Amino acid sequence: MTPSIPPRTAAFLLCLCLWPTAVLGQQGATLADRHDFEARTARFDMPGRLDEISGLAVTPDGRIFAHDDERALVHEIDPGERLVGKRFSAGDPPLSGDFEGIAVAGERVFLVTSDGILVELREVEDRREAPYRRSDTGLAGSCEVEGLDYDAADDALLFACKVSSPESGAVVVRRMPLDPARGELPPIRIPRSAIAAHGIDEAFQPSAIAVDPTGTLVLASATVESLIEVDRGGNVLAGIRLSRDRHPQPEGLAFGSDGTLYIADEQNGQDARISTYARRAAGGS
Amino acid sequence: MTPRQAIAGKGGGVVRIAVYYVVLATLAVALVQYVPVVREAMTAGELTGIGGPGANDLFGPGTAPAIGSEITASPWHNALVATVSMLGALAIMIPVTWVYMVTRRNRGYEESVVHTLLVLPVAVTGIVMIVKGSVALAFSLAGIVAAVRFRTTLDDTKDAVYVFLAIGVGLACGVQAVGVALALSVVFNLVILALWTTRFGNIYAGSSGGALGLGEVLAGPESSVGALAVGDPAILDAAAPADVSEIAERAARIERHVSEERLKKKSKRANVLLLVHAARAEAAQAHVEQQLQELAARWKLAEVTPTEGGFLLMYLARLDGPAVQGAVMDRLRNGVGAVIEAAELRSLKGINPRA
Repeated sequence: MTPSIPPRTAAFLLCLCLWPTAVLGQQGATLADRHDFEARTARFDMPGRLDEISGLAVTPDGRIFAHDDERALVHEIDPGERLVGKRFSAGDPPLSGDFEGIAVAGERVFLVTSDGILVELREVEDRREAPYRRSDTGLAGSCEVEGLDYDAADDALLFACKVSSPESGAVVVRRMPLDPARGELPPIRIPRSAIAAHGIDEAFQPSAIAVDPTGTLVLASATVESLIEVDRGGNVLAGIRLSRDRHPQPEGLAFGSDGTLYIADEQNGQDARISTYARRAAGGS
Repeated sequence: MTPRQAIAGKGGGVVRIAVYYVVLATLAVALVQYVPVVREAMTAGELTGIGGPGANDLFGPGTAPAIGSEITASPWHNALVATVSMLGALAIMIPVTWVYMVTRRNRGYEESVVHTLLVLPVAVTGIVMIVKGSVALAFSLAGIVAAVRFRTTLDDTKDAVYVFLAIGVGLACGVQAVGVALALSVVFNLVILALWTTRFGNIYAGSSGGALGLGEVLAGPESSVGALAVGDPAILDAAAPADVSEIAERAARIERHVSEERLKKKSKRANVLLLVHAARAEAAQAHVEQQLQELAARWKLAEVTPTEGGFLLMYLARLDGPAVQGAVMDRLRNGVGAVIEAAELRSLKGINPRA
């Protein structure tokens, strides 16, 4: 006599078996699996005052902050409505400099210049001057900062370096905890040979960095219009070539809490553009 | 070594200026890398470390420490950045003054203009750093400048351009863009040296392109109006040799005298050719020589040539400075109509001995 399994029990057992597959499959999938880079979900062009977006960051409540590339001026963008909202600045007139990245850690907003000067400010009302302070990260000698993001897992800021001598054979990400008492964390070195192994030009120089909700790091390059995904050991997990027409100069990168990827492009004097790539549904292909 | 000596000789001078710029730029790059204050002066950064309303409360004791070394806003820090910016302005203007002095060497220049070119950008840098970011202070400054008016007359319009440059360098350094000031200075000097070397726009510069030949001096400018002259320009034009062979013959005759001059010490060498047109040679000669005797360091009658309706007297003379040259021509003017018909002074400075 063959033992029979009640249909409800069978369905429950099937779900139980498939759930880890779906979840782990999503966790184990690479950036290329989680997003369809052939199908942009949405695109919105920025108004003139945001011609040159050098960095993006997503706030805990889901808004996007973008910054001016020559002034410490932060613009709020509502990705749902695709509208540019308020703006606030560090200093009045805003501090000037070659700003390259923005990060949001709770209520703390950070801007960084290419020579490693960090400006920390707080969000304030529209067209107001925010309180701020400046600090020198000391990166100037060895790292030309091109991207900034906050890594909640390590409670640290990540600095993507364009020039990384003496490690010229690697792309380097420097890590500085929000608590300076912990000292600088070991940098993440990504060998160029590993980047090339994923079909991306070895000339890859980062222009932006963002932490994926799965915990991996994603770096964009404006010089070779590509993305790479790496783990904290510097292993390259995926390399994605972006369409040059769609992404002429990716300079900003951020992930929403739902996994949506935002890429900001400068367009040689034309209006800047933000493209979004929604995360594929769990188990989707 | 004085700047004049340093610049002496076009080729060597240009190389020295280029070396100065390279050293200055290298020094700036090195200091920017390792000295934060210099970096601040070069990268248009703001002076204050903590700013904005409520900043001191928000980032005061008890709050999360800054990442990296906090840039503090002490008055000494501001003073240091201002000092670096002002010294940068001074260093950038030094080669400009060298170029000014060498290009104005023949025509002369005032010491006060040279000093102004060095001091003005330093003052402008300081003022801009005070005014920066404050509309109220900017209006106050405008009011002060309007009240304390400067009425300085410049000899040459090009001097005004140098003053503009000095202001531009001061403004750039004042907004902590010392690199821009350096570029401004380099490009300006390149243009000035190019214009000076090629004698761009000079009425004598047409054929030889280099130093003047004696024939060119004798032929004179296309119009006598451009030369230091007294009397009727029509007489001068009519008396100027139009025929190339006549110019060549006259140049050959005068060459002997000029060659003798070259053997003399530079300080005693004739620096002008005085051409006097007169109906009666003896009377004119007496009048001219009386003036030269009183005013010239030395002089010599080179030639008396019969011309249509009179004579042309040619003198080689050393007249030190524009003031003396002007005085001689003034005195000759008094003789116009009585003993001489017209007179003309042509510079022998920069004449090419081989031409």
